[in-house]
Amino acid sequence: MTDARIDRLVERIAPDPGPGLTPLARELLDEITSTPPVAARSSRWRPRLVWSRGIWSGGVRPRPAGVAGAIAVLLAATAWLGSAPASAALDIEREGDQYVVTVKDMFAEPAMYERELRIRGLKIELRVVPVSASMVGEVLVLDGTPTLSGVTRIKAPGECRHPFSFCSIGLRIPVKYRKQVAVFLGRPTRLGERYGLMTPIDVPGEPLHCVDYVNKTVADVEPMLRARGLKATFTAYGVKGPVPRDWYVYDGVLTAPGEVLMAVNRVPNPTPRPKNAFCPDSR
Amino acid sequence: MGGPEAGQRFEEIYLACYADLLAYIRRRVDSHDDAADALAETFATAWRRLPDVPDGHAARLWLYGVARRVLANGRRTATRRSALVERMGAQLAGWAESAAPPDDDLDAVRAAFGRLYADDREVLALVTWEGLTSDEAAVVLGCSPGAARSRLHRARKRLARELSRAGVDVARYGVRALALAGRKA
Repeated sequence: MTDARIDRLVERIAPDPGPGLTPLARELLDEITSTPPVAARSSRWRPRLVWSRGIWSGGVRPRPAGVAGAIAVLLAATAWLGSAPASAALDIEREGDQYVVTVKDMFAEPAMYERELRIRGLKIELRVVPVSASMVGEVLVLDGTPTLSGVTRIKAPGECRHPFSFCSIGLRIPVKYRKQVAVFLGRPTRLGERYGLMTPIDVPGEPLHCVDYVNKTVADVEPMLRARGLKATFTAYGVKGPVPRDWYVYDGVLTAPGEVLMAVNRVPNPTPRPKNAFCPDSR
Repeated sequence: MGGPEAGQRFEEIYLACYADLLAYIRRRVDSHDDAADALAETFATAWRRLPDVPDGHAARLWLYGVARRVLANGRRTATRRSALVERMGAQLAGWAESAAPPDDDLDAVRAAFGRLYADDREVLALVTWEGLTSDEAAVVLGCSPGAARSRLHRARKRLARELSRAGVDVARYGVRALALAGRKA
């Protein structure tokens, strides 16, 4: 048996990776950083993180505050670098001393993206993640520089309506860029696939956006979800089986097309997320 | 470094690595509560030791190493499990219940993998589940690249032996696995 075959078998028994970056993950970040860090020497390097919406999501869609948003790719150019195969995963052009890259085939294997970038000497790790419709085309970039000198975003024409979004449609990478870059790209799900990155149920474009559901009871929220064609799983710490219907809903995430996971508790959330966090107009 | 700058750097690392670390820990812990706890402890350690967290891609490897030690130490620190961590454990449990059941066809492979030594399982998992190279696995395991390569080689051989001993028709299975993978692609 070859090493590759052994590896493939082990790969196939990999347990499920879990729900990814959920709203609770964001809360954990806040909880950890609410304690003072140990005094430290200055950092030599600080990655720049960019959450942006991409061109595949259709109209201008605001992004959730901070993180909960996911992902897209486009990387950067005008002088063509040579002929790309017809089935190229990426459209890479050269514009002066920069590459402009756009994704052509979101279902291409990440290895194919990486190969095309590596040919140009770019060390970019690409992860393609199935996401909900509103998150398709989102991009997360970690470019490895302390300044804004690494990977830069290309802003979509027109006004970007959301204060947390750059409304990027692409990235520019200097031709001589040699730092390691990590890019996460959100793609549509295939039939039967679950989301690789959880989307809060109330961000723009998702079913409960601007809907008043936090701290309502399970009995109240259930029909709201049913009316939207969503199959809901309610979960509470330490509760096996069905969650009491008079408990309170804290938050929820989309786990797969048409499926949501709702976190509930015996008592109402004393510090619910401000309503205008995802719904600026508080409609 | 301190204040907002430290917060910003930590946030960047956290957001970039959270999903990977969650997957790493979930794949190695049966209890959802323990997984949530270990995840919180790993990132809390990173926050406390932020200056030690290396730059760029290496941050993820560093965090895997921390998570590995956290898991090896069992119930880690004196810190009380927070209400938030308890909610995260509940969410993981809910996620697991709603997830698709594992493929029964692979039970024999799972069993053979489970019979390996923990060290063999870990190096194989780092390469196949976390997608690391053997050199990257060496960073996580705290050994030399050469040692990681030979560990990986031994682990593969032992797994092949276990599969063979269990009567798994490896050749046929491999063909079937490839066909399944092709159908999924």
